[in-house]
Amino acid sequence: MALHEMIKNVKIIDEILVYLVDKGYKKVNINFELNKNDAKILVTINHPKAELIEALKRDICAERGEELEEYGWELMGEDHHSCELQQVGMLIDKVEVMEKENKVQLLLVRKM
Amino acid sequence: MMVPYIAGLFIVTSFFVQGFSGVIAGFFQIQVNKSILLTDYIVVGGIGATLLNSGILMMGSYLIVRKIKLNITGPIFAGILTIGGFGFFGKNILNVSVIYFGVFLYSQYKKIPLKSVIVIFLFSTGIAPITSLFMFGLGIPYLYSIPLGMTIGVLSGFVLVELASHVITFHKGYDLYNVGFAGGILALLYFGLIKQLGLSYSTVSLFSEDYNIFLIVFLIVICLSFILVGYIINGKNIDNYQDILSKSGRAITDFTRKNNQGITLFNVGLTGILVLAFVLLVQIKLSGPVIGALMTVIGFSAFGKHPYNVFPGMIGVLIAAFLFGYQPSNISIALAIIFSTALAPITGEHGIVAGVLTGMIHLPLVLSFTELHGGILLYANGFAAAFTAVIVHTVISTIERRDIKWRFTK
Repeated sequence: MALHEMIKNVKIIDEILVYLVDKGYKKVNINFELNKNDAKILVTINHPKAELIEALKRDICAERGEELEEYGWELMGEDHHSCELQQVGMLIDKVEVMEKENKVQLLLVRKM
Repeated sequence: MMVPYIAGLFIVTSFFVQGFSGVIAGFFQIQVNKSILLTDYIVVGGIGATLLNSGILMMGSYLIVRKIKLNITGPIFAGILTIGGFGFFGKNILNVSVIYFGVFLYSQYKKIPLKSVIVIFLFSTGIAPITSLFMFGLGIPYLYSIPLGMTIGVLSGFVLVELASHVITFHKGYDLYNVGFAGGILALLYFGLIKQLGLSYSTVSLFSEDYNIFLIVFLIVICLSFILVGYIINGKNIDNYQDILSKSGRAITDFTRKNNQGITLFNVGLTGILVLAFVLLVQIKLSGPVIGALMTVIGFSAFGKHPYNVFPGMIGVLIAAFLFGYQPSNISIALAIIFSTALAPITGEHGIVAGVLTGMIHLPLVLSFTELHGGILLYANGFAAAFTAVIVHTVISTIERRDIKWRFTK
């Protein structure tokens, strides 16, 4: 795997973290798993605000855009105001937002 | 996204406005022109030949995109319309093909599919005049000039992919014409080399306003078609238009995502017609470069621009022009007004005041930068816009504190 493919995964994590910190979350657990055919990122947020689930469902839509694989991903994780997570959606194949006891889990899958 | 229909309209119309033999002869003249800024192909080959050149460029690019099994998303739509727009002043089949080949070679060398670099592939042609200039503009015998022009063009395409990816972090996505910035760096190098090698060429300021009314009507028809088709595709409503208007437009923002093709087309047409109205209001007449610039705005209305974020910057350029004693009808000012929409994300993110100030800063920058690249770079405003974005973003970051935020969108 090319090095910059790995860095894209890191940038996705960066972008999610900026998004959550911007919303005021101070404790976020991130689990990263690199497999032969995909990369899985599991983000766990404890004690989420009521609107977080709706916001995540609205802001992340898994629409892998092959045309944007090599353009613009470097911008992810930058400190910017209108964080919309669209770019994360363009780099992933699957997203799941799961609600569990007093926590929300966000699973992102990116096929390699 | 109607691209083949627009391209087809250009091609068919070309033969109605200039006669077959005139179109073919003019088309050939366009291909062998040195094509640096500012060369209006309407003057070089005639209105029909220019429409044919633009239409073929769009249709060819569309077919390549379809051949590699990609759909027309926002960035691809912007890329194709930008090529069509610059098909009026600086891009032709010959010089575009050479740059395209360079990007294709890059994808082969890196063993990555062309589709993953298609966005840069489409925008890379802003540096296309370097090929034409070496081939036909420096007075070098064709035996040497043609291979030399092709080699430099291919090399430019080859390095642009990495360069464009590298420089996007410089302006943090606030300059929508990012590849213009990357191309500008190459243009600085080429212009410096040409001067140091003792080669010289005459600068050009060639444009025609003879087809003002025709081009206005032509553009209105295109924009109204986008509005109508978008409205119909969107289920004969515009209820979700606020989704687009609420976005800052900062790269990477593709309005077509989440099944928003219909409302994106509506935005494309509406933004295009409103910017055209603004242009006419300040008494700018339509020439090849002006319609080319307007087509770029139309294209990028699927990739970051909308009526909320484009006008403050344009007004800022207009104010600066009056302060410095320029008329908006001056072609350089007219282009700066329209192309300042590259900085639309600054308005989108920081508000109207920041947008107006951005436009005011952009004008002196773009006017001075022309002397640095010698007309080799077609995306002169995109190049200057990167520096404008850095200045404005830095000032805003400096002013902002934890308790003072200069925010506009969510």
